[in-house]
Amino acid sequence: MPKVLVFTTYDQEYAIDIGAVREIRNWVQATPIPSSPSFMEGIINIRGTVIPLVDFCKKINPSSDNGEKKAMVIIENGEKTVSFSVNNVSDIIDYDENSRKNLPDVSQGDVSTFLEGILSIEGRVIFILDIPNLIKECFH
Amino acid sequence: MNNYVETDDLESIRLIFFEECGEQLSLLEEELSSLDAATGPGEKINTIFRAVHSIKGGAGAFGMEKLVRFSHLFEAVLEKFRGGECTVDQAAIATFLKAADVLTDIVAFYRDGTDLSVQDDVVEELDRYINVPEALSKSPVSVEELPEDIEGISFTPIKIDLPKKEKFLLEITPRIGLYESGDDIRNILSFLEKKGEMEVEIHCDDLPNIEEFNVNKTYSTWNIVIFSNENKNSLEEIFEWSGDNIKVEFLEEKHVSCKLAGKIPNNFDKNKVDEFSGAQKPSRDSRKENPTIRVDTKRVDKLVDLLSELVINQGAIRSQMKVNDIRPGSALDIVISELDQLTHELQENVMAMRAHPIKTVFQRMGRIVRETSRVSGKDVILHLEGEDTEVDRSILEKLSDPLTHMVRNAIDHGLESTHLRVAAGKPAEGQLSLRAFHRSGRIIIEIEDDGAGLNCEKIHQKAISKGIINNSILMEKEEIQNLIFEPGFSTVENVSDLSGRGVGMDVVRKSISEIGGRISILTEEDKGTLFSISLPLTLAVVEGLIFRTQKQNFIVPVSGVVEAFLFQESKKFKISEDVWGYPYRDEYIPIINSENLTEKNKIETKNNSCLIIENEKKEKIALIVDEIIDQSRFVVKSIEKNYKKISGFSSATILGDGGVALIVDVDFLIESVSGKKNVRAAK
Repeated sequence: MPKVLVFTTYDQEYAIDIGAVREIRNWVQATPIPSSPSFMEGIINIRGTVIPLVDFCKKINPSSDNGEKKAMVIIENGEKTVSFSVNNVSDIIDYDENSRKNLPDVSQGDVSTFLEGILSIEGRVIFILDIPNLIKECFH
Repeated sequence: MNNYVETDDLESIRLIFFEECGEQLSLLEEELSSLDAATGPGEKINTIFRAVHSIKGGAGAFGMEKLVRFSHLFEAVLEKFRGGECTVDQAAIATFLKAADVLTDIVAFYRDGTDLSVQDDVVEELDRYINVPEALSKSPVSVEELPEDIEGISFTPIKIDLPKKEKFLLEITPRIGLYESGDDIRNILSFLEKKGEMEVEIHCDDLPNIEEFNVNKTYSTWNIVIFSNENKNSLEEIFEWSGDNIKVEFLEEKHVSCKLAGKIPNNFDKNKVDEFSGAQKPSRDSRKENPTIRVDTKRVDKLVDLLSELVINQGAIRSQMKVNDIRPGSALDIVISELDQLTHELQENVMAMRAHPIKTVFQRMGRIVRETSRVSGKDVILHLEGEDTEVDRSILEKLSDPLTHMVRNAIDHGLESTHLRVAAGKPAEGQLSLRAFHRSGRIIIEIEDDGAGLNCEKIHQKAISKGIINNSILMEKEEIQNLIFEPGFSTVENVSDLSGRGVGMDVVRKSISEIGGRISILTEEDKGTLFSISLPLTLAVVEGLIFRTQKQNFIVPVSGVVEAFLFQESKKFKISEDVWGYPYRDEYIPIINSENLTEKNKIETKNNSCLIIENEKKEKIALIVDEIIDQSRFVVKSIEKNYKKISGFSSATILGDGGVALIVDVDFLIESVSGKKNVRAAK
């Protein structure tokens, strides 16, 4: 059964395929980069490698500054390693392919480009993130 | 599963083969370019022959038929020269060089799948050496050898190929590897037997008592006399498969006669043996260098990474010492200083492991020069100096393309055509020099031609017509010369076949600056042009000053800092809105406040210090910072690797506390104030 990592931002749960997650760390202050988008917190040091840190809350909702950032999810995508700061990492769940649904077919603006589908498990509604697209959105 | 492993193994052997091919090809190139008609072939032709031979051997094993066919032809031609049937002259050297180029192409074809252009002309040239009638190929033919008239009847010799049997004397000593790989000397003997009549004698004098017998040793030697109508090569081929696992010596008769008599001579003719066994294992001899090992570059890179961690860790110890108030000069401080010293030395040694002589790149230029001179019809002599200068591999890799372009440029645009040169009283052949040397902690590479030099007027006109500069701006000579580095600039009216490939000097400058290098021009009309590239020794570590501004730390490379002193607010003066000047020595220079390096919401801080920074063109600016913290060595970490290029900063580093600091791009800072680029060329 596929496994996903679930984290919370704005009381909404998101899921990342566990294969893409390298590690989860406590949030650290990043070194800001001048003239970068507002959702870019900056660059951080992960054991000798410099990687960018994206404020996932701000990426979802640029206008607000909600919630305390507690964790960083470090993700490997191809050659690049990047990180996202999130409010809280809740759990790792196995799911049945049957509980995975497609997104409703409405244009939802920005966000839908990096959502892959919806998991509905025990009444929870979890958005599954499309990592390659999310990274494309943030870094290009 | 098993299958997968096997293909994987084969692939890795293939890679090793290509690596060795690369080495053999550069050896080939090296020997060929030093081959001189005047001094005769000597040992060189043997080295060349061995290089080609070993490529052929490997190619055969991998079934690379094109490579086998061509190298076989090349080898056959070389054999003629080696045997003295043909003499080495300029034409022959030119043919060899062309053949080496083709060989390189074919190897590239198999390795990278690049296009393979038709090389019929080279094949034809080579064929000529093989098929030429004896009288022509052997030049000059001495008069004495010609048959004289006998009693009025003159006759000319006719060459008849008789199957003649040659006598070969061999001594075979198997090494333990032969048996370990499951082979047996009997297999070889049965192959040899097919080649002709054979007598075999085994020497087992060395065989010890059964108690002393060591299963991991070989004790016997075989002496073989064989009468065969095949040549030595075809015999050698039998042993090729066993490689180093078997030692084969082709002996001269006198040696064998005593060997067969069972006496092993002490004063063995060593040279003779070396020459022959050399053909068997080409990569071993011919160069008296320290023994080397082949190490995966990834491992060395990993070592460099780990060392970087160590340097960062050292920074952490230093900052902890400060926190815990450990005084300089205390016992702990002394021990830590020694550790610093050791780390520094370790670092230099590891960096040296990554260093390669620039020879590998320079030799490739030999080919570029030949191609370019052929297409452009200009005769060029290439001079190489300082080929042994060592350059970090990561820099070396990125040096080839810009150098190629500049060499093409120098020949295509720099050098005049032959008749113009002669008219100007210059030697008919264009002189092109490539030099590499160390100067004050940097590597300098120079490309110099003795051509027409840069024509400032022409460049100026061109730049105006291309809209790069405004007609009204008065420019100094050096400024005009530097216009050739502007995007969209090309002085030659008709885009030529060679250098005008859509890549301009701007790309050259860009790729040089990507590896931390600077490029400058020195030119004199009718005398020639000298491009000078200055490169850092390594990309992994930078000596820098760390300063703080807006509570954020930044690094500026020491190479760009001229001076640092206390900033006096009163001395600065306003030039216009947001533009300030500051007196420095006997000139006034623009000010940049380092708070512009940070994000927008500024906090009120006190500017305490001033750094005078300068680029390669001697343009200076005053950088105002809150506080200068320290000078140290910083490990360069790429930002681009996981993110993208950030303008204003070349890279980042990791500080002792684990935080990240940005390394300032000096050039960018200066250009951002000067507004106009390329103000002055470095002298």
